[in-house]
Parts: sequence; structure tokens; C-alpha cells
Amino acid sequence: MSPWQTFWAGVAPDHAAALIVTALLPVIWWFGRPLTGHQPAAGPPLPLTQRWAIAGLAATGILHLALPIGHHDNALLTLGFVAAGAAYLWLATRVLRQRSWRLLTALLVTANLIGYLIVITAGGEEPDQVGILTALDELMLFALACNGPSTRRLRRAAASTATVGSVVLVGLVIWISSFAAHQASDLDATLTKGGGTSGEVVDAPHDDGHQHDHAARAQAGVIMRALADHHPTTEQIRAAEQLATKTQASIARFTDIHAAIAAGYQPSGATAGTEVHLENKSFDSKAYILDADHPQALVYVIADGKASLLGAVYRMPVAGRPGPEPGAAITRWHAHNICLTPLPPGAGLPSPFGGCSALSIGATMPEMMHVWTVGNPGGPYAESIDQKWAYDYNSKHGKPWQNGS
Amino acid sequence: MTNAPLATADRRVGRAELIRLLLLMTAGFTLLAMFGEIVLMASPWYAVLPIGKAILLLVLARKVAAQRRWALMATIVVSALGLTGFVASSLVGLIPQLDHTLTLTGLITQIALPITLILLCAQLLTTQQQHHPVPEAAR
Repeated sequence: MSPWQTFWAGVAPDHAAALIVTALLPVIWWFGRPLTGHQPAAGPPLPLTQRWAIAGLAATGILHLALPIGHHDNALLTLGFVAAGAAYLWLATRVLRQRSWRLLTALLVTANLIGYLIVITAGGEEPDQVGILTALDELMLFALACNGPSTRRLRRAAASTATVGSVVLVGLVIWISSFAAHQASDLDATLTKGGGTSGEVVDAPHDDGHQHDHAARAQAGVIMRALADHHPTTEQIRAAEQLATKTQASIARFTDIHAAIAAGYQPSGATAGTEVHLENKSFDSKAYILDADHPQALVYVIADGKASLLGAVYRMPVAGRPGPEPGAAITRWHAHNICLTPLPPGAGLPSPFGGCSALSIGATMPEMMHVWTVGNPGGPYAESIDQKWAYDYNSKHGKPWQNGS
Repeated sequence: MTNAPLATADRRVGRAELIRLLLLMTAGFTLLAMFGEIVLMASPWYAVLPIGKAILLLVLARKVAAQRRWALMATIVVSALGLTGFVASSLVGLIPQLDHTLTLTGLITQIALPITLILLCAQLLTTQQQHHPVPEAAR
């Protein structure tokens, strides 16, 4: 997947038109000046903060007005977008005319941000790059509105705290919503029964809008390719079932974790919990792409002196290359973008605002795909496994395992 | 509340105020990203550096508002370091086993924001050299 494709994978298709219109705003303004008889202001220029406020309000206003172009929502939501857009533009003119704008801007931004956070936490919409960018713009407007010309120390401190706090709070909610949407993307569970091990194929689902459109568009820890087609054919569903069945049969020999270690698999990362990964680096080769006999990693649950095999992980040998998808939308690959930090050595996740922590650098891993082989309630291709279910499974089926021996 | 246009002599104050706000937002971004490390590594030690950076940014924000030269120069250095990190990420992405993901928000916060801060600070430093330093009370 090229950087350009990855970039656009973060933009929801129904937000693309609004983004393009907003990006064209400076061009439209520049070329539109002669047509509108624009004259340079006679008086002294506005302070830079107010000129930024005008630009931010205009950009956010245009973006909201353009959202209905691609959104195709109900009339109420469309009306809401248009009203918010018009309100932002009206406030921009108030700043331009040197009328009061700070309180109204702060209230409008707060209402809009709360509305957006409610929509994404309720699952009405997956946070995408355009939505997050709009939130960023609104956070900047909130900062400009709160931090007025006051010289009172206490008031300035409160405004500074509100600025930093709002960035952290909004970012955290977007982040959590993004991961919740990722965890809830259980398309495969609707297509395969019995955790993909029964071989039973069900009908392809009907179109129900956003439900199947999850693409980790916040790009804050998970990167996914956009789906070309949300509706796998019967053959593709069968291919997905066959891959799950074949994987289950192949890795059954590693049910005992000692057998996996003897075969060259080594722990990478956590050594306890529900997602203990054992990797075999020698299988990171083009020869073993989606090879059920040579999965690049195995996943175990390890707890209370017991270990149970949960499934396998297929991983591409090179980053940026798309993995094959025999089951189309069911067998979706994903990559993790992480932050590598030296102090102390470790890794983190980039925030929804696109940044890593202090002195960290970002990197994206090769694409990977989980195949759960023990009847994961989420299905064989779910992104994760329910922790409680995994611990219960381990207590019943786990084999003895003590401190790596 | 009305907004009276400022005299040209006070343009520097507006510029310094904008830098202050952008530094406050950068501090917020830093604290937010901190959670990504703490959650993944499950250790509070990963909070030390981000909190330290956030405190530095808050101090710089305060001092930039007072148009302190050292604060402006330190802001340029911190922003340049951020840009260097982005370049380093791009270079790391050349390794076959790793890639570099460019996101829309990353473009804004990792490239546009530090460049804007550097430009604003450089402009303010330049105008400070052309005029007498503004007293601290001017903020």
C-alpha cells in the first residue's frame, strides 16, 4: 500500500468532498477577491490571533457546509451541519467587523465537539481523519476564544488549563472510540459460524451502511486498507472458512506450548495474559505468505501456570505490501503504527492527532492477520479475543506451563 | 466585548500570544501521546519524559508571551527537534520491515505546526532586533 493510499484510507469516503472543498478555500478566496471588489483594510491590521480565528472559523464553517455533499444523512443531521457551518461563518464576519465573538465561539465549539464525541462513542460514525481534523480546528478556535486579552493571572491560568485539558480530553475520547470501533468490527462473526472451524457457510450480509465500513481511519495504532467490496461472494466466504480450518489443523501440533518453542517459536513481548505472541522469524519470508504450515506467530493465553493455544498470526515479510485476501472483506489484514521511544526503551501508539510522545519516532509494521482456532466468539478473523472467554478456556483446556520451563 | 485593532507597535504582542496558544496545544498533544506509551508498556516510567516536555512547553508558553528572547530561541529548537523526529521517522520507513504512515492530522501537528512556530518565533526575534525590546509588562 503506497503512502498516498494509506493517507486516503484515513479519510472516510463521505467526508472526502468536504475535505477537498475546504482545501480549495484559500484558492477560492484568492481568486475571488477581484470579483468581490475586495479592498485592503484602511485601518491597522487585526491582531494575528484574530486573523487566525477568522481563518479557522471560515475553514470549519465551509467544512460543515460541505459535509452533506457526501454524507447523505437524514434531514435533521444535514440541517445541523448547515446550521453549524453558517454559524461559524457568521462568527468569522463578527471577528472581521470587530464585534464580540469569543463567548459565542467557545459555546458553539463546545456544543459541536460534544455532539461529535457523542456520535463517535455511540457508534454512529467511526472517527476519521477529516472528523479529527475538524476537532483539531475547533480546539484551536476554543483556545483562541478562551485566551482573550485579559492580563489577570488567574484567568490566564484557567484559560491555559482549559486549552491543554480540552486537547487531552477530546483526543482521549476519540482514541478510545476508535479502538472500540475496531474491536467491534466483527464482520467475520456474521459470516462464519462456530469460530470458523465448522466449515459452515452462511449467506452474505445485506447492505446496512456503516456497519461493514470499519477501516481504523483514526490511524492511531491501527492501519487498515479501505475495502473495495464489503460483500464477499459465497466463494470468498468458503475460502475464508477453508483458511481457518486449514490453520486450525496445521497448528494443532502446537497445542502444547513446549512444542512451539521446540519448533523455533520464541516469545516476543508479554509473557503472560491473553495475547502472548510466540514468533518464528525464519518464517518472515515471501515463501511463507499466508502459509498455514508456517504461520509467522502463534498466540497463547498464559495464566495460573497454564498455557493454551488460541490461534495463529500471519504477517507479511515487508512493510507496506498488502497481504492476499482470499476471503475478501472477511480476511482483512491490518498493520500497527507505533512510536519507538528510547527513554526508557519501548514503544507507544501515535495519538489520533498524529503525534508520538516526546523524543519518539513513528514506524508502521508489516500487515498481519489473526486467525483464531479455538472457537473465538468473535469469529476466527476477529481483531482480538474476549479476555474473560480466553481465561475461562485456559482454565479448562490449558496445559502446564511454569516460568518458561 | 469588542476587538479593537491593535497599533502596529503591538503586533509583536499578537504574534507572541499566538505562539503561546500553539505551544499550549503542543503541550496537550504531548500529554495525549503519553497515554499511548503508558498503556502499551504498562509502566508509569514512560510518563516522565512527556510530562517533562509538557512542563517545558508550558514554561516556554509563559515566557514567549513575555517575549523573552531565550524562550523564542528555545521554542525554535524544540520545534526543530520535532521536525527532525518526523524526518527520522521517514528515514526509518525506508527499512523493508518498517513503513512510515503519513496521516492528515500528522501533517498538521508534525509538520505544519512546528514550521509555523519556527516562522513565528523567527519573525518575532527579527522584529525584536529591529526595535527596542518590549518590557515584560507589555504582555
